[in-house]
Amino acid sequence: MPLPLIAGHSHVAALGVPLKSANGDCHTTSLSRSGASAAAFEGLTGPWPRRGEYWREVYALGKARTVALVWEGNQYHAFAMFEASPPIDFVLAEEPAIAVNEDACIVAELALRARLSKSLAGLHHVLGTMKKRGARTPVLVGTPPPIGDNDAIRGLLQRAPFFKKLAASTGLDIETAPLAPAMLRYKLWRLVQRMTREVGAAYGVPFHPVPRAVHDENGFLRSDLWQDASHANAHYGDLLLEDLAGALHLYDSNRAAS
Amino acid sequence: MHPYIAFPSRAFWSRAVSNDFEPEALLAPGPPLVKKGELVASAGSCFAANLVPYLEAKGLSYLRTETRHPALRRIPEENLGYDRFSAAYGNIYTTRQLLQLFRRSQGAFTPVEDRWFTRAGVIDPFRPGLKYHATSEREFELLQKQHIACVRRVFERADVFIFTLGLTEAWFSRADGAVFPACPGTVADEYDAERHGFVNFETHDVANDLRLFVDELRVVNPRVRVILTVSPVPLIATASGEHVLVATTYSKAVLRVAAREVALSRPDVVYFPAFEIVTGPQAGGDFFEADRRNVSTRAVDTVMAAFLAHCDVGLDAATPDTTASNVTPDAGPADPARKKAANAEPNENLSELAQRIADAECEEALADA
Repeated sequence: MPLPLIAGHSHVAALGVPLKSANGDCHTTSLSRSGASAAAFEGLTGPWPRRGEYWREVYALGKARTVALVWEGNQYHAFAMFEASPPIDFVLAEEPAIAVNEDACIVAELALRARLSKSLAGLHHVLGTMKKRGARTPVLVGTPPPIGDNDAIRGLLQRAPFFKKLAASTGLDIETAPLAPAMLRYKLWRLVQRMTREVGAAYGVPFHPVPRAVHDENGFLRSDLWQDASHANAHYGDLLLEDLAGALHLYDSNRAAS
Repeated sequence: MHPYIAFPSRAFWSRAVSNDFEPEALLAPGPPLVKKGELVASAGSCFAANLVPYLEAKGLSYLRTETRHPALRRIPEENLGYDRFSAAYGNIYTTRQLLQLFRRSQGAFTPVEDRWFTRAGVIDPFRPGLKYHATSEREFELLQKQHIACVRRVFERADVFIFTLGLTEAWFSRADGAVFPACPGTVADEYDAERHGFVNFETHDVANDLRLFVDELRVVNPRVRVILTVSPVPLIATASGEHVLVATTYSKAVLRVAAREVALSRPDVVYFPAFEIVTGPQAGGDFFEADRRNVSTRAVDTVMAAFLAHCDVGLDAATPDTTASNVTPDAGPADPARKKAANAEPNENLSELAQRIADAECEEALADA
């Protein structure tokens, strides 16, 4: 039986899947991690940004093996890394007691869902196609929680001349552009995880959340797991792989039972 | 000798309607309805929403206190015109609804039946069609508080308030008489005869509500001028038991008389005859669409041309919004990215930067892969 396959967007890199293949072709590869958990998977590398041929490879390979799909995960940063004008906030339906800045422009979660749904349209297509083509039911994998320390984020951005140049090209100074509150990013991350889970549920695809161990006491990404301002590192990948490896058989047996 | 000899031509049907009809002549000359630079707010039935683009196209300042956050600019529009007025109150069909809205904005009235719990979420009975409604009570309360504060700002800041009277028929909560914009169950929740009742307001009700509204509005905004119009759009349906055409005629007659009474009894309240322009015998057969209910674009054009003829719109036509952003101006002629940045709103720059960072970090990850 072929090994389960890790495929998807940029957060696969933390799991040891090369994000982009050398010549842009699609091929499976062993994970660049050591340990039993890493050995339990292969990864699918290919062109970056992802193109149709990558997903066609997922459909083909998914017929004989379980695909652990990592979908986007950074889409909320578009309006929650830097502070919006006016500041924005919302009530997370899943946990309405989480703090809200009542001086901000409060927007309905349904409106944010409309904003974020575009980033999940492709996931609908992929899961629907996998189902139609008789692939084994995949598993959706959660993506890393955000960093809770804004000073640290700014430091991570400042460390790379690449990002300073990038900021300048949009007319902004990365050193002074105000950052959005960390709690807003946390709530949006929760919302994205929830929406991803809901998309999966529509196709009978289970969702595997990131393990509790990757969170700090406030729910953010543990500081020893940071890679950059919006990604987690290999240690995070190890924790997730171990958790996922331990759970895959449960998804498989649920499928067999149903 | 008799008085008619001295009357102007506009007093005679043969001279002002059968011949030489000019819509703008229906309103006697007087001070401008709206002056350039004044903040204009409006509310009313669906006909009222048609007026806003014309006002803005002529460079008049339409007051909006509740606009979509820039981060949500590209999501589908709100339902039922909630985005189209000065604040997101949607259509206000009756004068009772207007008075009620004003009093809510001042903290002087809190409806007993102020939320409906449905499978879709927590629904505002006074904006039952909101697409982006609350899904928890906490969310509902925060969104409502924000909305009511925006409504208050409309009434406090407007220099001119235009209200289009639409209906006399309404459904209300038996708990306290609060009037809904639509019969419960037609848009959301369910109709319950024990909780909900029907009323067909009479002239004295409408006039009284309007007088109270004007008087109370002027306590918080003493200089505001009010323009009243009556919507020419017939009823979609009537609960009065009458034929819908008969019910429509009654409704419009009541609204027309009430508007006149209030305009005569209060300073700086003007009635603008949009109703007559659209429905009078002189009106073209093409002023209504084929359903004989929806008003045609030509009709709206005619009404607004007449309205704007009584406004001081200045010499220049509408100019596009050239609000400067705080972005560094274009540093070079052949740099599309910089040009786009220079023309973008600040929020777009931040959003674009954040998106590009998120994307680019993936490229950076490549370097280490």
